[in-house]
Amino acid sequence: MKKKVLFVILAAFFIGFSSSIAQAIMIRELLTIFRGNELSVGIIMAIWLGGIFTGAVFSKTKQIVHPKFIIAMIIVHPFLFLVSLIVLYSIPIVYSSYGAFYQLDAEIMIALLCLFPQCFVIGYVFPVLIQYADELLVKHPGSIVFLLESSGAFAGGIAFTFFILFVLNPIGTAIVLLLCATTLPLLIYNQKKHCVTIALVFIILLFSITQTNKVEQTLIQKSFAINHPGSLLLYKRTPYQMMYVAKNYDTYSLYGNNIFYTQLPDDYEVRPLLHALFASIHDILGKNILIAGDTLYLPYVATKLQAVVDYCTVDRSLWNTFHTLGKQLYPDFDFNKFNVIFSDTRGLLSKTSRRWDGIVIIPPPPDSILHNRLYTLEFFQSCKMHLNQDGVFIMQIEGFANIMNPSLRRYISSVLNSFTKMFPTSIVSAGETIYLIGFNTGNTIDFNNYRQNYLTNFLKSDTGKSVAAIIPHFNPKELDMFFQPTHLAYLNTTIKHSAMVNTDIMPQAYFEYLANTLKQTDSYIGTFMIQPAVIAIIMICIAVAATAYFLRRGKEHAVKGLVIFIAGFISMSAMVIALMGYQNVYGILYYRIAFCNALFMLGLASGCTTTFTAKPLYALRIMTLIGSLTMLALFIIMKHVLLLYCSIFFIAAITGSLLPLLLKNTQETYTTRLLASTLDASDHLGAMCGALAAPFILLPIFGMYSIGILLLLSISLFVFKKWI
Amino acid sequence: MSRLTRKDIVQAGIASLQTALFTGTIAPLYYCFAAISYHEAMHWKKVDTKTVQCMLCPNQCMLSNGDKGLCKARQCINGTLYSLVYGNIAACHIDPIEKKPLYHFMPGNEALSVATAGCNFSCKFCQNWQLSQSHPHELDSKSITPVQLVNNALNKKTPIIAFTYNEPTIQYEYIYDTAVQAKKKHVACVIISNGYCNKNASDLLYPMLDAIKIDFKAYSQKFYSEICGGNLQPVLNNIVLAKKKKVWIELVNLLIPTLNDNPNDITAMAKFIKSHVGDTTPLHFTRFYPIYQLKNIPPTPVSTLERCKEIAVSEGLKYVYIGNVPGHPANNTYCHTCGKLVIERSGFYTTSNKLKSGHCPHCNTRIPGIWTS
Repeated sequence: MKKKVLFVILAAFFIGFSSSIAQAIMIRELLTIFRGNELSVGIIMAIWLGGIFTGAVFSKTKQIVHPKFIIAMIIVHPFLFLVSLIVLYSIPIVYSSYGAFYQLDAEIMIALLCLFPQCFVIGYVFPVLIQYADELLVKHPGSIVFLLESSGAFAGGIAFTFFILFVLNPIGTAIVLLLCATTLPLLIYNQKKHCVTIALVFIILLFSITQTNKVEQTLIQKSFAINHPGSLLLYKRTPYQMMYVAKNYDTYSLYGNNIFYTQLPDDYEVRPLLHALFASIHDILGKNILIAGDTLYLPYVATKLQAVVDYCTVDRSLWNTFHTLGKQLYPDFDFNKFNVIFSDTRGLLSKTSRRWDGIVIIPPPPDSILHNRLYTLEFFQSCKMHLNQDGVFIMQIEGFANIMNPSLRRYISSVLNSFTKMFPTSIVSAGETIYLIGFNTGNTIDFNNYRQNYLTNFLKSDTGKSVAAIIPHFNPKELDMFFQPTHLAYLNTTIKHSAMVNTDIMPQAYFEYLANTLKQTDSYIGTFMIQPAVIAIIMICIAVAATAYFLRRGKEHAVKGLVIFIAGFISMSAMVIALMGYQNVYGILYYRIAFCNALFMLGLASGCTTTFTAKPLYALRIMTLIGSLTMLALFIIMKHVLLLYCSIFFIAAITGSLLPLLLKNTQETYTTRLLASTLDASDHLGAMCGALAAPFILLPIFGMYSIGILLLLSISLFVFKKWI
Repeated sequence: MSRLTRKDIVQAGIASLQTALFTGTIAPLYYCFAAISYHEAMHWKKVDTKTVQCMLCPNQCMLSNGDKGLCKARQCINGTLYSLVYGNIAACHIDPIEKKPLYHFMPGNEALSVATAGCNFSCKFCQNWQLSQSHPHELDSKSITPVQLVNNALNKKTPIIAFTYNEPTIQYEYIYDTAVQAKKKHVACVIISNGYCNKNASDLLYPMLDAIKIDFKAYSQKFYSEICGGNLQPVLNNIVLAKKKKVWIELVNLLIPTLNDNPNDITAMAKFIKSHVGDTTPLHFTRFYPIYQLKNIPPTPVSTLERCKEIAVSEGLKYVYIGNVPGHPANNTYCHTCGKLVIERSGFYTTSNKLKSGHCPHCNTRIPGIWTS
């Protein structure tokens, strides 16, 4: 009996541990072949939760559980994880998307293929474990299994963030998990062979670690060669991204998470920006300039012209690679003359009180919340605050070729409105690349004088003469390419000055940019996904269908299922909003995602322990949930990370306590496993809807104010008080 | 005249409902009823009472009642083929002619550049995908008659009308009518085309034009079929035809890393140009930037452009340019006899033109091209 209980404990803990690591790795690896924005994350999460939901729905039989079945399930999960990883690495080899990103439809298919089978197992095993624990006459079986699984997931998140990430690659991790799964039952049921088993595990473990790197390298190199120009020289997992360096003839291309970042050497691409810089700051000798973006040429030139340059970049590993290549490719430039700051631009500006004569930003397009934070009113405000009197802010954004479709128009309008609100004295170019040039001066700038002055006087100035010596064939006339009168007139008449301003709380430009991106992929599903009404209708249909289905199991199933559905919806939506809020404030989330996940799991586990008390304390729980959501709202306003961590923990704790609580306080006579199946399925269905609703409905319409909707939903939980 | 099918109205209605819900406008429905005018098309044949075959381009779409062609610009209604883009101008700008790029055609002049929705190709690297991959009712277009367009060009003092941005030949009837009007008023007409047109249509249109720039996307059928959704041979035929019809022609090859920068293909392309259109035909190698569906490819290395230029020159082509690289010396024109600089350009502007009546000021060699309006 003791052994059986120990087995349940280890099995529940292991399935949580294994699934949490698998989730963190699968998200990271899927994002290296997907576009990497919040839509992809939403789809991955929805499929993950959908898989668990399906597994839980199917796990309803009343047959007596045999431990061998549980052993099989525990081994099957890491095995499927390993297979999914190999499938994932092989997809770009057999299904090339040369130079393009996969369509949303393909992303969904790939995510389904790689995630659904392993998630089905996770969902299926939970009610089985509860039934087995119940059969062993364990007190509070639901709470105990839930607690163990959540604790395992927490331990997995911590192990991944602080250990596995640095020592093992994904395939190696999956093999280690598989070995643990196979030795777990041996350790419990076959004590005499302990030493042999442990020795065997160690040998295979060491072998795996040495061999998996080769396997991974071969797969990644093949995949890269099929999907990108040039040959892969190096790939590396940095704390921020998966970095690739490729060589194509005499150029080197850098990719972050498989997305093209920059190419070296390239002395031409930055020329337009140089025109904007020199037209706005005629003599940059001795001027302090802050530069951020994906070009090395600009800071080199600025330094050569005796400007004092600070260059902002986030990823130290990426910079080191960049720097080594740059030294080979630009031997004439002195690297030590500019100061490299390892921070993202917005993070730097929030910490320092320094001021610059010029701030030049070349941000990536706002295709994620992380990048959108460089397009918001708050960012422009921060830049303005860090400019010296008469300082100039210059930013390069993606524009339009010759016309704008409605989403592109709204994206550009939203960014321009935010910019001009902060920089009323400004010059804006028009065309495929738009330059936003803001002046920190009260004087009006006349464009014709600005242009004429540059065309006639620049090359005569000391800076102009130096530029002509550094950059061959430099001609100020090129500035006119970005100020074609008809393009300017089109921009001015087409953009909507009434359009919403792009802010951290209401990231309008981000959603419009995404809509425009989806339009380019010809994705059938994508055209539906950007219609919040369609998604909302689909979700309502899912909720109604699920309630109707569970009503067939009994009224209590339907009502409790609905309660847990709402709780799951709230927790997952809140988590998505919290992660977006984190990115708004702190930038890259990549290396923190497993930690946030672990914190969520710790919350679930802790919440579960509160259900061992005799009183359900339902009202108190709902009040705490409301308090946690309020804490999340406060984090958005006050930007203190502790508020975020606390809110994640408490939201998880409350929603995590509901499932064991509802399972415990059964009013009618059902088998524990059937009710566990209903509750687990409803919880994950609600979470799945939350994972889709937050990025596709709530945030596009309400922005960060969506927390208000979640608060209303939390209050609605009081309605179900009599059922608890 | 507005002839909407039930499908159009239903589609526009759904789109309007969604936009009305979230943006408070009914733009799609408005465009559906207000902007599209129908004009009976040229170059098609009746298959039966309700089916027609469009003969304008090599796609030769068979269209039943209500169907639109692959180009989205021509629709069969009750056994007659209509153009949906006749005079429905969705984009109108004034560009330097060098931006097209046409380097040997009236340099330093501006062109009134117009475009409609639709295209008979579906290039994954289309810079103007918002025009080319849209249906006419999706864009906010303005109705302009050929006479009005020519008058606009005169009023704006642009001696050239350029049909550009999307594939112009899908607005065949409009270009034809405009060219007739333009000839009367001494305004030049040029098209910036993919050269994907059937011989009968090209035979009739090309003599009406003053210059054609053809995108010679690659010397590879695979590239045309996989990346552009078309075929190479009709393009080659039209390049030869344009020369035969004595229309000024310049060719552009946008080089995309790995996809169409194979030295063997470049050699074959240069050989074809030299033998079929002449060694003085300008060929522009332009730089690709990540765009539309090919956003994850780095820009073409400048060294690749230079290498391709060298291949073309070594094959005997005399005017080979490098484009989309502002400030590159290969943007300029050098006399093919004495090698001296005759036209200097910066970006898409001519900054110095030393030609004297189309002749090199140093050795008096005639530089091929059309140099005066």
